[in-house]
Amino acid sequence: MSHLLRKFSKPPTIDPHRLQDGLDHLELCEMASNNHTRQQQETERFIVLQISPSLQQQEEETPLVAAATAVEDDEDLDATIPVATATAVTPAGGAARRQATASSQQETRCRSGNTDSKLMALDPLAQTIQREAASSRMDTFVQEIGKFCGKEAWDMRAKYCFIASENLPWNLPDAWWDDLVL
Amino acid sequence: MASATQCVRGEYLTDMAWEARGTGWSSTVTSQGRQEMSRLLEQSRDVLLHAASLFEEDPTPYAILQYVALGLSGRAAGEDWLAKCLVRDPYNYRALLSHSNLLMQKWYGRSAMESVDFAGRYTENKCPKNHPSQMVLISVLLEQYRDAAWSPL
Repeated sequence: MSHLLRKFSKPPTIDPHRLQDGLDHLELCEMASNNHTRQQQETERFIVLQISPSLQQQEEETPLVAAATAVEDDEDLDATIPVATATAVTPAGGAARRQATASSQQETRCRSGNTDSKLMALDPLAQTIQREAASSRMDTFVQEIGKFCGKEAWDMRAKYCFIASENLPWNLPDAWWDDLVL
Repeated sequence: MASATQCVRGEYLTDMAWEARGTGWSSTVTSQGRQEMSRLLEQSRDVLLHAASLFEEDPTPYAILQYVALGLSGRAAGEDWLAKCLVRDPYNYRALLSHSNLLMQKWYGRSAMESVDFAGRYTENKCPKNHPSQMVLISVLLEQYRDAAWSPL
Protein backbone atom coordinates (compact mmCIF):
# COMPACT_ATOMS: atom_id res chain seq x y z
CA MET A 1 0.00 0.00 0.00
CA SER A 2 2.94 2.32 0.38
CA HIS A 3 2.82 3.01 -3.32
CA LEU A 4 -0.52 4.63 -2.62
CA LEU A 5 0.75 6.65 0.30
CA ARG A 6 3.72 7.91 -1.64
CA LYS A 7 1.32 9.69 -3.91
CA PHE A 8 0.27 11.79 -0.91
CA SER A 9 3.61 13.39 -0.27
CA LYS A 10 1.75 16.57 0.53
CA PRO A 11 -1.82 17.01 1.81
CA PRO A 12 -4.32 16.79 -1.02
CA THR A 13 -7.13 19.23 -1.56
CA ILE A 14 -10.32 17.54 -0.54
CA ASP A 15 -13.90 18.15 -1.45
CA PRO A 16 -15.85 16.81 1.57
CA HIS A 17 -18.68 15.63 -0.62
CA ARG A 18 -16.36 13.66 -2.82
CA LEU A 19 -14.77 12.22 0.26
CA GLN A 20 -18.12 11.14 1.61
CA ASP A 21 -18.67 9.38 -1.68
CA GLY A 22 -15.41 7.64 -0.97
CA LEU A 23 -16.53 6.49 2.44
CA ASP A 24 -19.79 5.22 1.00
CA HIS A 25 -17.86 3.38 -1.65
CA LEU A 26 -15.60 1.87 0.98
CA GLU A 27 -18.61 0.52 2.84
CA LEU A 28 -19.99 -0.82 -0.37
CA CYS A 29 -16.74 -2.63 -1.06
CA GLU A 30 -16.67 -4.09 2.42
CA MET A 31 -20.19 -5.35 2.12
CA ALA A 32 -20.16 -6.41 -1.46
CA SER A 33 -17.43 -8.89 -1.77
CA ASN A 34 -15.55 -11.60 -0.07
CA ASN A 35 -12.89 -11.17 -2.69
CA HIS A 36 -10.63 -8.91 -0.70
CA THR A 37 -7.99 -8.57 -3.36
CA ARG A 38 -10.54 -7.11 -5.67
CA GLN A 39 -12.03 -5.08 -2.83
CA GLN A 40 -8.71 -3.56 -1.89
CA GLN A 41 -7.74 -2.79 -5.44
CA GLU A 42 -11.06 -1.11 -6.06
CA THR A 43 -10.78 0.95 -2.92
CA GLU A 44 -7.23 2.03 -3.57
CA ARG A 45 -8.14 3.03 -7.06
CA PHE A 46 -11.13 4.93 -5.82
CA ILE A 47 -9.19 6.77 -3.13
CA VAL A 48 -6.65 7.99 -5.60
CA LEU A 49 -9.34 9.19 -7.93
CA GLN A 50 -11.45 10.83 -5.23
CA ILE A 51 -8.89 12.38 -2.97
CA SER A 52 -6.48 13.50 -5.55
CA PRO A 53 -8.33 14.29 -8.74
CA SER A 54 -5.15 15.55 -10.29
CA LEU A 55 -4.02 11.96 -10.42
CA GLN A 56 -6.88 11.01 -12.68
CA GLN A 57 -4.87 11.73 -15.74
CA GLN A 58 -2.06 9.54 -14.48
CA GLU A 59 -4.60 6.85 -13.66
CA GLU A 60 -5.81 6.90 -17.22
CA GLU A 61 -2.30 6.57 -18.53
CA THR A 62 -1.21 3.82 -16.14
CA PRO A 63 -4.05 1.94 -14.47
CA LEU A 64 -3.39 1.95 -10.74
CA VAL A 65 -4.92 -1.45 -10.19
CA ALA A 66 -2.31 -3.00 -12.39
CA ALA A 67 0.40 -0.99 -10.69
CA ALA A 68 -0.85 -2.00 -7.27
CA THR A 69 -0.46 -5.66 -7.89
CA ALA A 70 3.04 -5.15 -9.18
CA VAL A 71 4.33 -3.12 -6.26
CA GLU A 72 5.33 -5.21 -3.30
CA ASP A 73 7.74 -2.99 -1.38
CA ASP A 74 5.79 -1.78 1.59
CA GLU A 75 8.46 -0.08 3.64
CA ASP A 76 9.12 3.49 4.73
CA LEU A 77 5.47 4.29 5.25
CA ASP A 78 5.94 7.11 7.68
CA ALA A 79 8.18 9.05 5.37
CA THR A 80 5.40 9.75 2.94
CA ILE A 81 2.15 9.98 4.88
CA PRO A 82 0.70 13.49 4.85
CA VAL A 83 1.46 14.57 8.39
CA ALA A 84 0.20 18.06 7.87
CA THR A 85 -3.24 16.78 7.06
CA ALA A 86 -3.29 14.59 10.10
CA THR A 87 -2.17 17.30 12.49
CA ALA A 88 -5.08 19.44 11.42
CA VAL A 89 -7.30 17.10 13.41
CA THR A 90 -6.76 18.50 16.85
CA PRO A 91 -10.04 19.66 18.41
CA ALA A 92 -11.12 18.19 21.69
CA GLY A 93 -13.84 15.80 20.70
CA GLY A 94 -14.87 15.01 17.18
CA ALA A 95 -17.41 13.38 15.03
CA ALA A 96 -19.39 10.41 16.21
CA ARG A 97 -17.85 7.04 16.57
CA ARG A 98 -18.65 5.55 13.24
CA GLN A 99 -15.76 5.76 10.89
CA ALA A 100 -17.67 5.20 7.74
CA THR A 101 -21.18 6.50 8.22
CA ALA A 102 -22.72 9.92 8.60
CA SER A 103 -20.43 12.68 7.54
CA SER A 104 -20.97 16.12 8.89
CA GLN A 105 -21.42 17.27 12.43
CA GLN A 106 -24.77 18.70 11.43
CA GLU A 107 -26.27 15.37 10.48
CA THR A 108 -28.56 13.51 12.81
CA ARG A 109 -28.85 9.79 12.39
CA CYS A 110 -32.15 8.30 11.54
CA ARG A 111 -32.75 5.15 13.48
CA SER A 112 -34.50 2.63 11.33
CA GLY A 113 -33.30 2.15 7.80
CA ASN A 114 -30.05 3.94 8.41
CA THR A 115 -28.01 1.36 6.60
CA ASP A 116 -27.44 2.19 2.99
CA SER A 117 -29.97 0.54 0.73
CA LYS A 118 -27.26 -0.16 -1.85
CA LEU A 119 -25.48 -2.29 0.71
CA MET A 120 -28.61 -4.12 1.68
CA ALA A 121 -29.37 -5.02 -1.90
CA LEU A 122 -26.15 -6.97 -2.08
CA ASP A 123 -26.70 -9.08 0.99
CA PRO A 124 -29.94 -11.00 1.51
CA LEU A 125 -29.11 -11.86 5.11
CA ALA A 126 -28.42 -8.23 5.87
CA GLN A 127 -31.78 -7.41 4.33
CA THR A 128 -33.48 -9.93 6.56
CA ILE A 129 -31.73 -8.64 9.64
CA GLN A 130 -32.61 -5.08 8.80
CA ARG A 131 -36.24 -5.92 8.25
CA GLU A 132 -36.63 -8.10 11.31
CA ALA A 133 -34.80 -5.69 13.55
CA ALA A 134 -36.92 -2.80 12.42
CA SER A 135 -39.95 -4.85 13.47
CA SER A 136 -38.36 -5.74 16.82
CA ARG A 137 -38.30 -9.40 15.87
CA MET A 138 -34.99 -10.64 17.02
CA ASP A 139 -35.19 -14.37 17.50
CA THR A 140 -34.80 -15.39 13.88
CA PHE A 141 -31.95 -13.18 12.88
CA VAL A 142 -29.97 -13.60 16.03
CA GLN A 143 -29.88 -17.31 15.39
CA GLU A 144 -28.49 -16.58 11.94
CA ILE A 145 -25.87 -14.27 13.39
CA GLY A 146 -24.97 -16.94 15.90
CA LYS A 147 -24.00 -19.28 13.08
CA PHE A 148 -21.08 -17.04 12.20
CA CYS A 149 -18.37 -18.24 14.51
CA GLY A 150 -14.81 -19.37 14.06
CA LYS A 151 -11.73 -17.99 12.44
CA GLU A 152 -13.20 -17.12 9.07
CA ALA A 153 -16.50 -15.80 10.35
CA TRP A 154 -15.92 -13.45 13.26
CA ASP A 155 -15.85 -10.41 11.03
CA MET A 156 -19.18 -11.36 9.53
CA ARG A 157 -20.61 -11.82 12.99
CA ALA A 158 -19.54 -8.33 14.00
CA LYS A 159 -20.95 -6.89 10.81
CA TYR A 160 -24.36 -8.43 11.29
CA CYS A 161 -24.45 -7.41 14.96
CA PHE A 162 -23.83 -3.88 13.76
CA ILE A 163 -26.62 -4.02 11.19
CA ALA A 164 -29.04 -5.50 13.71
CA SER A 165 -28.28 -2.90 16.33
CA GLU A 166 -28.49 -0.09 13.85
CA ASN A 167 -31.98 -1.04 12.78
CA LEU A 168 -33.65 -1.84 16.09
CA PRO A 169 -36.13 0.79 17.29
CA TRP A 170 -34.97 3.28 19.88
CA ASN A 171 -35.44 2.82 23.59
CA LEU A 172 -36.24 -0.85 23.80
CA PRO A 173 -36.83 -1.56 27.48
CA ASP A 174 -34.53 -3.86 29.43
CA ALA A 175 -37.46 -6.23 29.79
CA TRP A 176 -37.56 -6.70 26.03
CA TRP A 177 -34.02 -8.01 26.11
CA ASP A 178 -34.50 -9.99 29.27
CA ASP A 179 -37.48 -11.77 27.78
CA LEU A 180 -35.44 -13.13 24.90
CA VAL A 181 -34.82 -16.79 25.43
CA LEU A 182 -32.39 -17.85 22.75
CA MET B 1 -29.11 -15.40 26.41
CA ALA B 2 -26.99 -16.29 23.41
CA SER B 3 -23.68 -14.60 22.68
CA ALA B 4 -24.96 -12.94 19.52
CA THR B 5 -27.91 -11.49 21.41
CA GLN B 6 -25.64 -9.99 24.02
CA CYS B 7 -23.38 -8.57 21.35
CA VAL B 8 -26.33 -6.95 19.62
CA ARG B 9 -27.53 -5.60 22.94
CA GLY B 10 -24.12 -4.20 23.80
CA GLU B 11 -23.83 -2.65 20.37
CA TYR B 12 -27.32 -1.21 20.72
CA LEU B 13 -26.57 0.37 24.09
CA THR B 14 -23.38 1.81 22.70
CA ASP B 15 -25.30 3.25 19.78
CA MET B 16 -27.81 4.80 22.14
CA ALA B 17 -25.03 6.26 24.23
CA TRP B 18 -23.35 7.95 21.31
CA GLU B 19 -26.68 9.19 20.06
CA ALA B 20 -27.30 10.74 23.50
CA ARG B 21 -23.97 12.49 23.19
CA GLY B 22 -24.73 13.83 19.73
CA THR B 23 -22.37 14.11 16.82
CA GLY B 24 -21.10 17.61 17.50
CA TRP B 25 -17.76 18.68 18.87
CA SER B 26 -17.27 18.09 22.57
CA SER B 27 -17.97 21.71 23.39
CA THR B 28 -21.50 21.25 22.10
CA VAL B 29 -22.33 18.22 24.25
CA THR B 30 -24.78 19.01 27.04
CA SER B 31 -24.23 17.79 30.59
CA GLN B 32 -27.46 15.82 30.30
CA GLY B 33 -26.21 14.20 27.10
CA ARG B 34 -22.90 13.42 28.74
CA GLN B 35 -24.55 11.80 31.76
CA GLU B 36 -26.87 9.71 29.64
CA MET B 37 -23.97 8.63 27.48
CA SER B 38 -22.00 7.47 30.52
CA ARG B 39 -24.98 5.62 31.93
CA LEU B 40 -25.61 3.73 28.72
CA LEU B 41 -21.95 2.97 28.13
CA GLU B 42 -21.64 1.55 31.64
CA GLN B 43 -24.60 -0.68 30.88
CA SER B 44 -23.08 -1.70 27.56
CA ARG B 45 -19.73 -2.44 29.19
CA ASP B 46 -21.37 -4.75 31.73
CA VAL B 47 -23.35 -6.62 29.06
CA LEU B 48 -20.32 -7.06 26.81
CA LEU B 49 -17.90 -8.08 29.55
CA HIS B 50 -20.43 -10.61 30.73
CA ALA B 51 -20.74 -11.93 27.18
CA ALA B 52 -16.97 -12.08 26.85
CA SER B 53 -16.70 -14.12 30.03
CA LEU B 54 -19.43 -16.55 29.03
CA PHE B 55 -18.32 -17.18 25.47
CA GLU B 56 -14.60 -17.63 25.58
CA GLU B 57 -13.95 -17.86 21.86
CA ASP B 58 -16.00 -14.92 20.64
CA PRO B 59 -13.91 -11.78 19.98
CA THR B 60 -16.96 -9.65 19.14
CA PRO B 61 -17.69 -8.32 22.65
CA TYR B 62 -14.15 -6.99 22.97
CA ALA B 63 -14.36 -5.46 19.51
CA ILE B 64 -17.52 -3.56 20.40
CA LEU B 65 -16.00 -2.57 23.75
CA GLN B 66 -13.58 -0.36 21.85
CA TYR B 67 -16.42 2.11 21.50
CA VAL B 68 -17.05 1.92 25.24
CA ALA B 69 -13.39 2.69 25.78
CA LEU B 70 -13.68 5.61 23.42
CA GLY B 71 -16.52 7.24 25.33
CA LEU B 72 -16.08 6.00 28.87
CA SER B 73 -13.22 3.81 29.93
CA GLY B 74 -10.28 5.39 28.18
CA ARG B 75 -7.19 4.28 26.35
CA ALA B 76 -5.82 1.75 28.85
CA ALA B 77 -9.07 -0.17 28.89
CA GLY B 78 -9.20 -0.04 25.11
CA GLU B 79 -5.72 -1.52 24.87
CA ASP B 80 -6.57 -4.24 27.37
CA TRP B 81 -9.73 -5.19 25.50
CA LEU B 82 -7.96 -5.11 22.16
CA ALA B 83 -5.30 -7.49 23.44
CA LYS B 84 -7.97 -9.87 24.68
CA CYS B 85 -9.83 -9.62 21.39
CA LEU B 86 -6.74 -10.38 19.33
CA VAL B 87 -6.01 -13.47 21.37
CA ARG B 88 -9.35 -14.77 20.13
CA ASP B 89 -9.04 -13.42 16.60
CA PRO B 90 -5.62 -11.98 15.69
CA TYR B 91 -6.87 -9.86 12.79
CA ASN B 92 -10.32 -8.84 13.91
CA TYR B 93 -11.35 -6.12 11.52
CA ARG B 94 -13.83 -4.41 13.77
CA ALA B 95 -11.50 -4.25 16.74
CA LEU B 96 -8.54 -3.01 14.72
CA LEU B 97 -10.64 -0.39 13.00
CA SER B 98 -12.22 0.93 16.18
CA HIS B 99 -8.94 0.86 18.10
CA SER B 100 -7.35 2.86 15.30
CA ASN B 101 -10.09 5.39 15.80
CA LEU B 102 -9.39 5.48 19.53
CA LEU B 103 -5.74 6.23 18.76
CA MET B 104 -6.57 9.27 16.67
CA GLN B 105 -5.30 12.46 18.20
CA LYS B 106 -8.79 13.87 18.55
CA TRP B 107 -9.50 11.05 21.01
CA TYR B 108 -6.62 9.38 22.86
CA GLY B 109 -3.77 9.47 20.39
CA ARG B 110 -0.45 10.84 21.59
CA SER B 111 0.45 12.15 18.18
CA ALA B 112 -1.15 12.82 14.86
CA MET B 113 0.50 9.76 13.42
CA GLU B 114 -0.18 7.21 16.14
CA SER B 115 -3.37 5.92 14.62
CA VAL B 116 -1.85 5.66 11.16
CA ASP B 117 1.22 3.93 12.57
CA PHE B 118 -0.90 1.43 14.44
CA ALA B 119 -3.07 0.68 11.44
CA GLY B 120 -0.04 0.53 9.22
CA ARG B 121 1.72 -2.01 11.43
CA TYR B 122 -1.22 -4.35 11.20
CA THR B 123 -2.14 -3.90 7.61
CA GLU B 124 1.39 -3.91 6.31
CA ASN B 125 3.11 -6.42 8.53
CA LYS B 126 0.72 -8.59 10.45
CA CYS B 127 -2.46 -9.25 8.53
CA PRO B 128 -2.31 -11.90 5.86
CA LYS B 129 -2.56 -10.70 2.31
CA ASN B 130 -6.12 -10.12 1.21
CA HIS B 131 -7.49 -10.19 4.74
CA PRO B 132 -10.29 -7.65 5.32
CA SER B 133 -8.22 -5.93 7.97
CA GLN B 134 -5.97 -4.73 5.17
CA MET B 135 -8.70 -2.12 4.82
CA VAL B 136 -8.06 -0.59 8.23
CA LEU B 137 -5.26 1.71 7.13
CA ILE B 138 -7.33 2.97 4.25
CA SER B 139 -10.21 3.69 6.61
CA VAL B 140 -7.96 5.56 9.02
CA LEU B 141 -6.54 7.72 6.26
CA LEU B 142 -10.00 8.48 4.95
CA GLU B 143 -11.16 9.40 8.44
CA GLN B 144 -8.29 11.79 8.86
CA TYR B 145 -8.88 13.38 5.52
CA ARG B 146 -12.55 13.69 6.31
CA ASP B 147 -11.90 15.30 9.67
CA ALA B 148 -9.52 17.73 8.06
CA ALA B 149 -12.08 18.55 5.43
CA TRP B 150 -14.85 19.20 7.94
CA SER B 151 -12.71 20.75 10.63
CA PRO B 152 -13.85 24.22 11.66
CA LEU B 153 -10.23 25.13 12.43
